[in-house]
Amino acid sequence: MTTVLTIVRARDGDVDALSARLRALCADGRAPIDGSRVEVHLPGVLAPAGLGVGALTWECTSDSPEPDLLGHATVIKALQGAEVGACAHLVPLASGYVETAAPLIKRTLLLRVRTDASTAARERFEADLAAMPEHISTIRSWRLSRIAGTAHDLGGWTHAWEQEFASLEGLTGEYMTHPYHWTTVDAWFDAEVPDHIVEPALAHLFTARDVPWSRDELARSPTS
Amino acid sequence: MEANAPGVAILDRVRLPRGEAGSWIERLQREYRPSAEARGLTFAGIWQTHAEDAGTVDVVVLWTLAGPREFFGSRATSHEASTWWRETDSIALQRERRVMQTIEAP
Repeated sequence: MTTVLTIVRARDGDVDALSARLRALCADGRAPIDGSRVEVHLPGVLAPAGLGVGALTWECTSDSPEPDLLGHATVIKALQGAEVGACAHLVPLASGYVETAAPLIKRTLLLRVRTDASTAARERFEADLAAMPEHISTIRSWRLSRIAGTAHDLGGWTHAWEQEFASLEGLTGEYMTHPYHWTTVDAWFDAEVPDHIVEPALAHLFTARDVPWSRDELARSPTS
Repeated sequence: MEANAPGVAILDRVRLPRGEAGSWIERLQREYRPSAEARGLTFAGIWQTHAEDAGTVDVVVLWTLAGPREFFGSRATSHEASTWWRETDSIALQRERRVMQTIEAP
């Protein structure tokens, strides 16, 4: 199973029309798309130019390899007039499912681990991130992924840290203020901490979500 | 400060060659401290070891913030201080920064 996150902005600013074209791809049936979510970024997101407000996240799963998906003629056509700011082929490391009623908030953090980080440090960082749901009760379903680094990956992101929350308050409240976050996890991001390994530029994105991840959907995520 | 949110303490511990410690502490006070205070950190104190026979000096600097929101507010531009710390790391023998929460009295 291939899962790709693509951050797209409509050059003409008509994000609704772009959303409609991408949503129609799944129903159209010609592109090898197994599942698709098109979610517009909400005000308050923090991201490099082109990835923030006015852009959307297209989460797409397919049984086909990534080039067959993104290179499909109908996908290329749907993306005409759009600027692809980031594209990330996910390689999930860990996930958790918690049944949550819709609507909810989906949050995605795209980050870059420094190229000089050791394997041991990277793995400890990933373990600390994956432990956040044990400490922070407002995190519902979640997925931590490396980004494959294929030719189609765009933006140089190395990891995607995704969570669902029952409300935005779950993200802006407990998630941000829990001591596990700022005493432990944040040290990997803090440029003043000698052992930090994450580059300062982040994409902190959140969207409204009408259909939560299903248990099957997260379980289908490969581990390599 | 957010109700029920614990206070934040940032502890810097730097081990320096004895010959570098005095000038480093002076630079911390003159260069780093004003920028840290501008980002919202409160300087709580600085301490050093003073063993006669040691070739090194351990310096501990303690900063405080009212709560996690203030902490993340200060973090928004903390990468700008990384150059200052890189210069410290070029002379320091060891350095660590720990971010900690206050413990409420029982």
